[in-house]
Amino acid sequence: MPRIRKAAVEKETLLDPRAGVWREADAVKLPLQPTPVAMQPSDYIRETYEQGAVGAVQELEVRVLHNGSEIFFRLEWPDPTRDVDVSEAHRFADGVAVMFPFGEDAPLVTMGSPAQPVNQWHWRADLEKPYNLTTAGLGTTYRTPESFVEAKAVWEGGRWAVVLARPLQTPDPDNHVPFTPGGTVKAAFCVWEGSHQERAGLKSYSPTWTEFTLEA
Amino acid sequence: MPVAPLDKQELIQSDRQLAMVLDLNKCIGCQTCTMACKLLWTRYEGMEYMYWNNVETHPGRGYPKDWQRRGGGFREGRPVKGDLPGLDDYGRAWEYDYQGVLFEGRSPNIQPDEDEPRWGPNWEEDQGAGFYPNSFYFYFPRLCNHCSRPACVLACPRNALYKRKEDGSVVLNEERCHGYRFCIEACPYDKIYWNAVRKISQKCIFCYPRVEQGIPQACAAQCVGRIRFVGFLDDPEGPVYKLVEKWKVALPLHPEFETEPNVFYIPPLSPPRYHEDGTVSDEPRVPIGYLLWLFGPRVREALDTLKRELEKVQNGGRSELMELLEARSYRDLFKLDKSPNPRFNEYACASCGVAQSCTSPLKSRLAGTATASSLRVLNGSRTSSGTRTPT
Repeated sequence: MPRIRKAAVEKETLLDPRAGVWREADAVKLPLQPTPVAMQPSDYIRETYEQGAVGAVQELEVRVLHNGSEIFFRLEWPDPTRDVDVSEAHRFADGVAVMFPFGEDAPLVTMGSPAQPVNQWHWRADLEKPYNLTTAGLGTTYRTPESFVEAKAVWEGGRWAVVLARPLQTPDPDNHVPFTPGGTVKAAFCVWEGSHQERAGLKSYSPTWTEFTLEA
Repeated sequence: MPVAPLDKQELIQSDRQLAMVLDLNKCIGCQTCTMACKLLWTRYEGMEYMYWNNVETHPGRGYPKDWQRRGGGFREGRPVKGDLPGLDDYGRAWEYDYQGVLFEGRSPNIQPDEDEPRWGPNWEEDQGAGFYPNSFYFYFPRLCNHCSRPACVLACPRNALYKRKEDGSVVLNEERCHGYRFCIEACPYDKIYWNAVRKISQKCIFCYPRVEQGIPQACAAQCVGRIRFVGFLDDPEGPVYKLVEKWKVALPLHPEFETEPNVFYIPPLSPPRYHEDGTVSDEPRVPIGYLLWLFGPRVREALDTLKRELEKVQNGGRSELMELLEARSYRDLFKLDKSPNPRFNEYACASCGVAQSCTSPLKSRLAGTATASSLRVLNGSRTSSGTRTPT
């Protein structure tokens, strides 16, 4: 099980995807696959998008650290185009998201269920701040008013590197999954490739949960 | 916490359907409807290029360019892929070089001060098709069709769009919209717009805050040609029922898109074509083939009815249809409720959207029985609709 090591480093440094401290983190390479078009939540999307047309990004490298008060996810993936411009209807931005289950058995592919909701952090290249979302099944994504998530992103050499950070605990555990040093963190990931018109459920995702131990 | 998804069938059902009929024989292409809508709803940042109502010249490529060939809607019941127009398809807004011309002597002509414009909301005005003496065109006002089978509502993965129960207007909940733009793809009329500043889609709301006050849509109320009729489709006393159901002269645009529009058009009659030797033919100047493409096979019957009723009046007879289309009184154009609406006398003033500060001497005459309290009602409805304040 990959570790989330504790680094006695301040937030500003850990937020930087280029910071040297990231070399000390366990690297997990995850294969991604296209989301199933047959499960998209509208007839229009199911019937007019071909399975092969989405899911351009096929791998994601994940490193996670914490510093005792915040947890940091560094996500890196290949993407030859830097899509940050959404000034026209046909332009979509690159993005990445991390998903955490509130309970033990939340289904991944449906993004939770009414009984087993999930929590996501969604970074998009055109936005200043990431969203925090809660979801209880496909088509129910809800952006919470408070995010608590911060991000820094770098695109160079045809790769994105994005660090997402949040306090281990927040005042609102119903909308933000709490993390406890000494425990485990279960997460899944997805990536949107903007130049392939990927948005909403059209993306590539890690089809299984990855479990990390959060070092005390 | 998240909300459970609603059933799409639930979202597209309404108790009643408000509808609009536009008589293309009377449109003079003045764009007053366009401006009435623009000033009321789309004059904010990110909405510069949005024309929830626009008037095109047909035949033409329209706004956005080639919208009739960009997909969307349904074919034999199945959704058809649509595309997403870019700003070049709408035409990028430009400023004129007033400073250079008026104060710096740069050019004798007022010209766009940046790139040469290549498209715009009324780019092909009066261009039309055909050759003299058989050239032809007509004006074509367009807005959201508030369809009974709205492709946009059915496409949205967020259920951000729905039909209002009380009047069937298709509206977009900006708080649910996450800017995924499947609605823009799915609308075969290209009447949903991307707001790149707010990162949401936006569309015509059929002026529901006005309708709720018994006042017709701004585009309809302001129409100087009196071409627009508004009423509920199930109200046999209303003008829309009479034109659509009784006389069957008002037809949906591109019925082959299968979205069941609730905006209907009375097709244009036209003078006869000339033969090459200068004699007059039996064929109308606007080719029937073109009208069949726009309105489907029922257009023949509609044109025949219009001609028959017109001849009746020309021969000294009377015709309910022609009297309705003449629209001598504004009261004949609009019927928003089953009972006569007491505010009808006031709408002429209310329609301008600046009722409170208006100082026009026409105001009191047009407003008839308008009272301070009725104007307060109007201003109240505008305040509740968002950030708007009276100008």
